[in-house]
Amino acid sequence: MVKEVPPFSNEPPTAWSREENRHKMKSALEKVRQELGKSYPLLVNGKPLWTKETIVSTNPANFNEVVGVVAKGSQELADQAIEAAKKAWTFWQKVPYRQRAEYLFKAAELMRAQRFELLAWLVFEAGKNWREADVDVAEAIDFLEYYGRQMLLLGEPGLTEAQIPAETNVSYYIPRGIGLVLGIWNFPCAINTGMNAASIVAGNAVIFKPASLAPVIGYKIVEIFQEAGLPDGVLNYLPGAGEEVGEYLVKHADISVIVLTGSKDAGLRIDKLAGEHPHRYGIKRRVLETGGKNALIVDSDADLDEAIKGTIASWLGYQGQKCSACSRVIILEDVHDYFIERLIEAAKSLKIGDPQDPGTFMGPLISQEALEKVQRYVEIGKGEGKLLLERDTPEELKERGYYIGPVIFTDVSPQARVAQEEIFGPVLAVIKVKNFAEAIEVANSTGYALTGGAYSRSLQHIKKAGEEFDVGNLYINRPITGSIVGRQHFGGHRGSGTGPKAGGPDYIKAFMNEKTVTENIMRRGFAPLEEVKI
Amino acid sequence: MTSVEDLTQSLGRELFTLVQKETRPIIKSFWWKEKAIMWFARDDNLRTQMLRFVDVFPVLQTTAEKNQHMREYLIQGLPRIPPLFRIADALSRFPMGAKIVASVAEQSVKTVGQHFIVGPTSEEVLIAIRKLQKEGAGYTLDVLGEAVLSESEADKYMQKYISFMEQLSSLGCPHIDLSLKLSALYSQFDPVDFEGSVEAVKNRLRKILRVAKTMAAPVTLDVEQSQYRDLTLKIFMEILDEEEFKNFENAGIAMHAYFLDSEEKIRDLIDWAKGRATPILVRLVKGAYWDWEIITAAQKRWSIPVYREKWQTDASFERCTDLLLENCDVIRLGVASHNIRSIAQAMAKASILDVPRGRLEFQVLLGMGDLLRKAILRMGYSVRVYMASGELLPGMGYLVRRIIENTAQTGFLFQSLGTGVPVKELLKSPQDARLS
Repeated sequence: MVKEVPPFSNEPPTAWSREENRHKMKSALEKVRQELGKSYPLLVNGKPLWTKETIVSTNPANFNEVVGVVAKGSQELADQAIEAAKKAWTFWQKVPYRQRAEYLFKAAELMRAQRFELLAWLVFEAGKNWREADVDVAEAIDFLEYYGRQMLLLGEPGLTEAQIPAETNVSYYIPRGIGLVLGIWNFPCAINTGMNAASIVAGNAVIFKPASLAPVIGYKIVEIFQEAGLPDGVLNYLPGAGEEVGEYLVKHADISVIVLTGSKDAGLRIDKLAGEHPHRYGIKRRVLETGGKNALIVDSDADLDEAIKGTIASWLGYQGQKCSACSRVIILEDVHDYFIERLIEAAKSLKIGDPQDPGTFMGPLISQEALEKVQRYVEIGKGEGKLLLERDTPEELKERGYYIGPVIFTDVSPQARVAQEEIFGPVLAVIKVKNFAEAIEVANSTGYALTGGAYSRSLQHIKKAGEEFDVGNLYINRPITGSIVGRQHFGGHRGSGTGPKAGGPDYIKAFMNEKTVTENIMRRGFAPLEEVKI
Repeated sequence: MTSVEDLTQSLGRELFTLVQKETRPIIKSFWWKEKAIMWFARDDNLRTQMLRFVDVFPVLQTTAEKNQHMREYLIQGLPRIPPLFRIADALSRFPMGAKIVASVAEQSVKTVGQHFIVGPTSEEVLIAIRKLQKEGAGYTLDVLGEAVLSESEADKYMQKYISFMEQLSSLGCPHIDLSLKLSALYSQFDPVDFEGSVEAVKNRLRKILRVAKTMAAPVTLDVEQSQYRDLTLKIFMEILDEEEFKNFENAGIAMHAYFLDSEEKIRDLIDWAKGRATPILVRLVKGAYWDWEIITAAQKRWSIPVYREKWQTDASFERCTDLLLENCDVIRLGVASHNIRSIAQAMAKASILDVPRGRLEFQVLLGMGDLLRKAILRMGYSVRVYMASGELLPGMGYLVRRIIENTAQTGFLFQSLGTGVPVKELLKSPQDARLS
């Protein structure tokens, strides 16, 4: 008996103005704090596997605090995981698509039930503040509900567009095989849930290698799928070193689809490796969502209150560690000085602190490596533009976490490195332009095309931005981060990724093959009459 | 014994007659304002485009920009272009014409602005106050500012209020009366950080209240969008419980009647007020962020916190009025509505409960309730005028809300302005209005 599936609608964000929600969050933080430091095994074929070597996940706001100790996969264990996936795939590919979708809906339900706990894990492991963590989990739930429904739409075989008499042409989607999901740490709940959900619902068996910076949340996701009753071996959890296990799997002849969210360099590397090491029977499909060097244009007639608010949110939300984050402001010269002056003051007013504190706007960066990279770019920027803000953070934070305050460079040339390369931190390059046409030209002058936006009240300029601003996601008069599943299909082109867009109707198709079956039903000049469509 | 409803009807008719008497001479001299209101109220497209145009206008610098935006919004943006705009558009194709059109547009926007907003200096404010005083009306001053995005801006805003008090006092202004929004006192005002926001706001509010206390100046906290309501109430109660302000007699807070749980919140407030040595002021309003509440709740898929139907809000307003008047020992009520029915109902209820005159007043917005104000004063009640002061640009949010109210078809202003709605209709109880 198939249950009626209600139409898709987005998971509501938590209303923090309600006392009960704030209270629930505080209790969840308390509860999860008690659970920090636990050990987590690999999950292969549904069975826990413990390893001698481990990955230690620490709290980026307090690196002495261990969030979890996670088993570490090796090439040998990767082979075991491949075997498990292959075995599972023999039956999983035949499970009716409706049933596959049901597992996603069930997982969504389970995620909803432990929403605040997941939020708390994101606070501890990813350094997200309450609001950012909330968005992350809500999006994960959306992905489950959305991809499940997409499968329901695509699952049924259908006639192709142009039919002729005495021949049937039926097209449908079939699973690809074994999928490899290379996880990310910046939306460890949302993006990892999305990549896994799409792979699974499409009928593939999956090996999920979480990012080593957020493996515990990865474990939680897999645990939720297990709880939802997903058969053993369909989703295998295999943390490990990227160079060792990740690349080994990318090259493995049994992997047929690879999905990655990461940097442009990582994307290119995986693309190359996967190309050089094809699947046993053919070419590996790569679904890569990579970086961005996203710009916000501020027009001379913009509502500057809104533009400043939107810039702060897009530039400093999660410390700038979002693919969609704003790292360039392209501003018309008439409003430049006023805008910058207020922007600096606004950036100085944000609370930098431990994300457990609900007042914290900016938490830590994810790792020492990330911090050093940002610091390097700050030095580069000093040689390229005028340093207008380099906000320091209190010693007691820096002593135990990877903290860095907002940095603004002005008078930056569009070709400067800080205006061209993805920094993934709270560094903003401000580029002054004479008019809107020049603004668009500058905006389009990088090797990325992910998100972009414009604050303007000129209908002509808004139209021009729509037509000429070359990005995957363009936002007018609002922040450029925070895309919502099913509302803003998310993803870019150029160096920003291969598509298809996440949270959009084409996404799960990438994890399947379309098969078209044509049957000639005319024999000796005769065909069943009802098949002869004239 | 007369019922509240009967008395409401008779007081309402009296008020209506007085308003009409005031209306005639005024409308003659300002007929175009009436015409403009009707014009915009009847054409939704025109209203939207006009609001957007007014909204962007103050930032436009050059003649070319002004003409360009006018063309985009009022010519290309409209399915039916009013003849007046066609003429302006044709004129603006010539250099001289462009200048004239831009300056006429500027004058018009300014005129609209000045109708609702008093200039930013204390001298301008004082002139406006004196004018009201001559009529026997009081005022409360709202200092408009741009959005507070940083702590330095929050400090500036706080300072602005303090200097206004000092300047007005040194200019010899007899009564000083302020209304303020707490979101302007802390740049990170956010319910997610409830305790942090309470503390940060209290630190600045304390400084304002200290000065106000020395001048015995009333200070009323405006309540903004629903997400800030609990925060504002908490801050209000906590700061007034402090030793320093325990006996401050002039603290007030605005309460919205359009929330589904308005009465519950008012009851909480009354319970708290009962523990105080001095009464508090409550400004009862229907609510100015209705569209925002509806849109935001729909966007976030939250349950809608406000009544959807106008009659429901009107009914809630009357219930809240009753509740507050019944507790006039601890509450001084300011009925802030431009709706004759709501005003008359409050008068009737107060009269039947024998509420002392000092415990009930009526509040109207500057530029909106001018006729009403005079009529209410004639009936012997106190009236306080809510007066916003500032530059046009930072005042735009306020101005747009006023224009929306003025051009809404469901608004009382539209209905009373010679649209021929009979007085019986206007005075219908909310429950009866529901049925019609």
